[in-house]
Amino acid sequence: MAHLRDEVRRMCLSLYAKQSIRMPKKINCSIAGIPFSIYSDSNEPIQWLEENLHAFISKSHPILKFYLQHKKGIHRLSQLPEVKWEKDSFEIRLNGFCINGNIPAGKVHVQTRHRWAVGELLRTFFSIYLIKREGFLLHASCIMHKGGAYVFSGPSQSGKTTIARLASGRPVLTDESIAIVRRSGTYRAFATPFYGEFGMINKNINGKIKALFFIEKSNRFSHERLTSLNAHLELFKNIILRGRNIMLIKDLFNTFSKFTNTVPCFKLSFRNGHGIWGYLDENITPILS
Amino acid sequence: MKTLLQSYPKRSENVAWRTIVDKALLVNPKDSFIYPLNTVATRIWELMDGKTSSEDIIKRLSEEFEYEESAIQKDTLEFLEELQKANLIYFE
Repeated sequence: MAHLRDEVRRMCLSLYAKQSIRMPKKINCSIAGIPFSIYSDSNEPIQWLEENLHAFISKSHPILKFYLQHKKGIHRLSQLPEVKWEKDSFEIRLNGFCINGNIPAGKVHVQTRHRWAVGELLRTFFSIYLIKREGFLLHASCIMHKGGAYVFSGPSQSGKTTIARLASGRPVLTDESIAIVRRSGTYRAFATPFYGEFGMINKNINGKIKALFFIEKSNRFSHERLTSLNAHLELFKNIILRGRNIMLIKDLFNTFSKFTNTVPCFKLSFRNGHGIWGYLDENITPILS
Repeated sequence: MKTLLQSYPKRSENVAWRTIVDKALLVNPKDSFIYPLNTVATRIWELMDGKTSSEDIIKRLSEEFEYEESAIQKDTLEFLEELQKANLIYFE
């Protein structure tokens, strides 16, 4: 009798194991207001996403479905991805990934030799995909203040994390990279899971952008309104674009032109200390719509 | 053999650019370099259509800007050489 029970248990375990292999490994997320699903033929990417993108897990109906397939034969390529984008179909090849997709069909097939590097995949994909939706990823910290998003952009060591630490209870979207998306003639900043020193992002929040500041540390506060040309230049310096493609750059010129006509851009020198919000409220906030 | 003055400079199709007010911004996707141009350099850039010779570009600049033609010629030819070295233009 005991022998039979063991046999049945073994069969059940065996059946369960087979079922669990067949079960789709899937997760639903949303970045920059774009809901998507990721299916994978292995557990590791889903496990990584559950641990690192928990604030971005979404119940919204996905408009994109990623199908990840682990494949050892995907070769190393140059550091910057090669991008082909024709009408609605695209191919992105980067170090260890080959991404093919069709936007209207909502399908993105990914062959990868990595089991874990899903963050790199998403950062690369969204740096390109957002441009096709009149948006972009920017090296910036972003803080909600008086009902709007204040964006502080600059290269490494310019003070993005310093400003995030001076938020004094104001909601911080990110200290490293934001997604900027055009919505109904305005621009909104979205938190992204591509975080910096400040740590993992706990809330997927967004807000209408009030102003964009290109920052530098200084021993005093000062600011200067940027011309459209200089704002373009700073945006090109600080954009996150993981791909070499002339059409993307042409699209960016159009996007930056609309953006700089809509959002006031400033150069801001700031002193490390809690005086920054007082300075902004005295000198900048009153002139923002 | 054609001299630089007789050649026809043409903007590379692999460079994205836009004139904003009166100054051009060039971006080369291959190396991610960004080139902001001043007003005169922007005019030279706009004239490099592959159909206008360097000599004609210099003549046009002399008419449009109040500088000595010899100074314009020297600066223009140096600028063209720099652009060619950066693979932003080629000569037809």
